[in-house]
Amino acid sequence: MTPPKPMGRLGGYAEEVAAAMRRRRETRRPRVRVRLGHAEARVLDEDSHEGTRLLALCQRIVDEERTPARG
Amino acid sequence: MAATSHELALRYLLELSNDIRAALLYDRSGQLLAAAPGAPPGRLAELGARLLEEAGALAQEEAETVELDAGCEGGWVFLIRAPEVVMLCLTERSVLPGLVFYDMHAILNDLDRAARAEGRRLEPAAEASGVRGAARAR
Repeated sequence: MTPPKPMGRLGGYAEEVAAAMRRRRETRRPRVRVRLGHAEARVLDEDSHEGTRLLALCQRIVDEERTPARG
Repeated sequence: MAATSHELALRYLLELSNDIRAALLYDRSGQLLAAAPGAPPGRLAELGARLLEEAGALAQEEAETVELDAGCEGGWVFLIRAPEVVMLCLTERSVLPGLVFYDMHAILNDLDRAARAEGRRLEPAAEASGVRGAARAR
């Protein structure tokens, strides 16, 4: 078996980096996931009414917690 | 003032997980039972109560357990609605949700076990006082 060519190896690295960036972007995207009982967890559609409402409420919770104490 | 067992449980949760910045514990009606590391700032407790109400509305049955995690700008929100209590936690963005849920469940299980043990401890005492009361009535 012939060893991989340097350019091919570099291409492989670039693909891995691109995939890692895609995964990172995906995990950092705002989203709400819900699991009811023992069912599979499902990500709420960000355009759905409940998804939008819950995400907005959670964002307010995070903002409130990060706000320095008043007074 | 001495800390309640709920407060101690939340403090232990924060020791268990460095990722959790704040934790709140409610009863199923939305009454705040405890918070850690200190009293919740501003309207946090009120907003948390509203979230547990909204999460409860997603459940098909009243007793159904609900787990919710939301990735937001600047943090992550985790909620578990257990049969007796509801736990809400806030973390940084860079966490593994599975690990946070694992730690939350560990504490909820401990609380549940403690409540059942307390129930068992109180039962014989209640029965004994009932017997004594009946004997006195005779």
